[in-house]
Amino acid sequence: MIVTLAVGIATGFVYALVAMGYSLVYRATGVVNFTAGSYVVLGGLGTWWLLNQAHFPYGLAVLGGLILAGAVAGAFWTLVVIPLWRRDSPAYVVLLSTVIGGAILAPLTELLITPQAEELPPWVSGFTVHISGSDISGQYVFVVAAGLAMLAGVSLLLRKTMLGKQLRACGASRETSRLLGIHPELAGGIIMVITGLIGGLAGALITPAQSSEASMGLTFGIFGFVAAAFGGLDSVAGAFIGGILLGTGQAFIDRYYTPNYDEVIVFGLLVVVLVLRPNGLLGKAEQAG
Amino acid sequence: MTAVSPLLAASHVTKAFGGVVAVDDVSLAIGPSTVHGLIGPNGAGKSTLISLLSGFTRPDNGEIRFDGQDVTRVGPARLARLGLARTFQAATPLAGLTVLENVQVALTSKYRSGLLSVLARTPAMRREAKALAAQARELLADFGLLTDADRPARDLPFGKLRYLEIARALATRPRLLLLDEPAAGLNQVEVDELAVLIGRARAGGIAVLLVDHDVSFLFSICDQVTVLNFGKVVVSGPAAEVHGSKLLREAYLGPALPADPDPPGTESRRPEARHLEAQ
Amino acid sequence: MMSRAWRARDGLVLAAAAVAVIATGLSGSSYWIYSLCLVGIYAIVAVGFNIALGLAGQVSFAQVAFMAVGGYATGLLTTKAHASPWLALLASVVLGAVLAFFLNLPFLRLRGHYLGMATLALALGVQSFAENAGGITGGALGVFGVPSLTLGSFSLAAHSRFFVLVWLACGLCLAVYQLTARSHIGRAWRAVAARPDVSASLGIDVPRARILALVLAGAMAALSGGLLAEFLNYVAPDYFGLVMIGNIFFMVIVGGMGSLAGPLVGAAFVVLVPQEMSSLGQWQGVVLLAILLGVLVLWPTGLLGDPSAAGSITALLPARLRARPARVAENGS
Repeated sequence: MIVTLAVGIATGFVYALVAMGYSLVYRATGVVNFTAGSYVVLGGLGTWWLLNQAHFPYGLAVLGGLILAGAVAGAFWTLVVIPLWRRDSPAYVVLLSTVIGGAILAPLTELLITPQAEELPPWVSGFTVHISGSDISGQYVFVVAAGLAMLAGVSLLLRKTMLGKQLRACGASRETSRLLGIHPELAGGIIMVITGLIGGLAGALITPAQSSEASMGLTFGIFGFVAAAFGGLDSVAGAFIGGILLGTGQAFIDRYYTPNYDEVIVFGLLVVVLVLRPNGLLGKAEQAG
Repeated sequence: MTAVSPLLAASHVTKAFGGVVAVDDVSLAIGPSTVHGLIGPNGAGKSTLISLLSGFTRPDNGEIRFDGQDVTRVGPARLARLGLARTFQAATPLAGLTVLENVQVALTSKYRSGLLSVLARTPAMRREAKALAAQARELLADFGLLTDADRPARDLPFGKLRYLEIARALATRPRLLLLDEPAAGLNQVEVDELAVLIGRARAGGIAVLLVDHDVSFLFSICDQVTVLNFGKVVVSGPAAEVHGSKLLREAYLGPALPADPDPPGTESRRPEARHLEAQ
Repeated sequence: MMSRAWRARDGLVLAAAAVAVIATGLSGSSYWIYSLCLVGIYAIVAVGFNIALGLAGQVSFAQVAFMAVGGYATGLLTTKAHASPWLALLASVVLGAVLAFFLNLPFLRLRGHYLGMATLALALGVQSFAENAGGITGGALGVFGVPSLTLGSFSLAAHSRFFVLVWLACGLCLAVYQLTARSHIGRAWRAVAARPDVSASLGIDVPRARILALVLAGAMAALSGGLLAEFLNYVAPDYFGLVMIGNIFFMVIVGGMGSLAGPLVGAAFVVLVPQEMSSLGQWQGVVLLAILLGVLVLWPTGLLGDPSAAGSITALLPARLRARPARVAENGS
């Protein structure tokens, strides 16, 4: 049971990082970005490719994987979202484009990097954690540690730095942002790249513990979205917590009930939450009718 | 106060947002076929009060009655069907619809045909559609908008947008028309036309609640006036009484200033407004 | 409101489509008849969605869920309950309408993003259920052996005959669309899409208008799903996932929201373009999605959308290079 909890929390951290990506982009730009999950896979598989096909040293491969994820995020923003913004497209068209984007990245990754599930070597070989009679990969510890570090980093960024404050102002209105001297397109791009980097790092961290496969990008994207919606799209901390709860909940449902209906239960819960508290469990309570 | 029972009566209505009390124990009564003005400086609570009276917000306390019926918690759609129509401060043409369609939309609740009649194109449905379209055109003609009937509503010049706003509200055949700053942004000619329009509405048996900043315009057509400040009713009564009242001046200018015969707003519009003093 | 120019173009395309359909029906080409059967089926769900989104402005991702309901209801009623295919089809449409009513009721208070999210969760949940509830739905393998429709002893199994049924159904849906769109119901929808608050102040029952649009959309989606089941003699959860969600939005958005012929054009695109791509093998999926994305970016109001509403292509240039200042508009909810 503790093992389930531990693994659930660890995978929950991955969802949490993806959810954080959703929340960051939403707060800065008002866009719900369905490509967020794909960066996890890009980071993990990109690192694998650089390590095994290009024979980079491990550290450099991880860096490369991150850069790949960040670059793809930035490219998507520039090539798809910015043109749609410039045409004053309604929000749901932008949303649709990110859904298609997320859907495209999966086969693209399959074709360009690898169609198979791949694993990475652990960061510290032989590092295992002994919990209640079982050994689980110590990699999970790194996931949790890095996740917390990134959460702290992002919170600091948003609260303390000038850039962060500007980014928080952006989401309110593109016009206001322009008046404040912030370039919403550039700010959005920066945030997207950060989201890509965070997702990529999450991928590089988890792939040694659980193999990554191209098709998982969409799954992460969907679960990350659910987590963010649970916690409140406009609350970064809420999205993060939502992710952890989701991962843990899923692990328990899988272990003790059945793995088949975990998605249905999760979606059902989301529908209930959205109807009762549209701003999420931790979002702002008051909603204009 | 008139002896006739009021058409719209708000009693001790209060509304607070967060810590701020926007409307504080306000009571107001509007008689049938009356033009009732509501004025006050910015932030006085007029918008909130309008929102409460037109069903867009619920009061924290108090009661609102329309024609004797308790409508405190009734929403705008039901109120419109009971006979209370309103316009909005910023002109709100419905995008994607023509001028004619904007008015036709206001007649939606008058249609008796449902989905099946529409799909079957019954003679009754076709007759009804024709008749109501004709009514809409008549209304447009009254407002000088007939030639613009098939234009996209958002293409209208500003003054005409205001008229469309009022025409639309009148299409619902209201008994009370709530006008939210209808004169804002209009030139003098248009303001005068507006005054005539309001007079005709009253003559037609429609009560009007008029909110505006243009004090001279307001006092020139209102029978009764209520002054709001800091969410409270400062003074309320027949227009002439309120116009001369010290409390009115204090609301706008603050207390203890040498008497200023020209309340703010009159200088820019009608320099010869002094004749109002004679009322 | 459709301007004269827009309506004329729309009518022209509709006429061309009618000619194409009739020509195909008479041609005897099995490839084209098969393809246009699919186009007709997809067009039906798109017309329904055009009512919900194009007219009433409801961004509902759940359209695919009702298509799944229709498909599975038809498939299961015929295979497990041995109902006649016609009855099953009818029951599916009714079920789609009823479910659309009850499932959308709690969502009526949600605006914009939240409606989108809730309906997306609903759609994904339905697909996941179909995939996992093996005992009921046959799981990922789906339902086989859905019988074709018959008129007495006249079987509609042959595609050339099914073709007629599909296009009759599509024509019926187009008629429903046109009749409601041009009536006071359609005007109320468009008003609610533009400004629900102002619409309410004019006496329009906003929740009722929304639900009506969503129920019609759900009924058409169920019809489409049921016809698909009987056409392919097979139902599977694969058909009702993210790809179909994307297709449905694509058909309406790219076809042109609020236009009559738009969904037809969108359906033709979504069915025919991938078929031309089959030579690309593995790259098919990527290229197709890339094309979808490209069209979305380049023609945001759709190929048949309101010509006056399209942002000019120069809008794609950075602000400094444009002659006029950028248009300012906030994302509507």
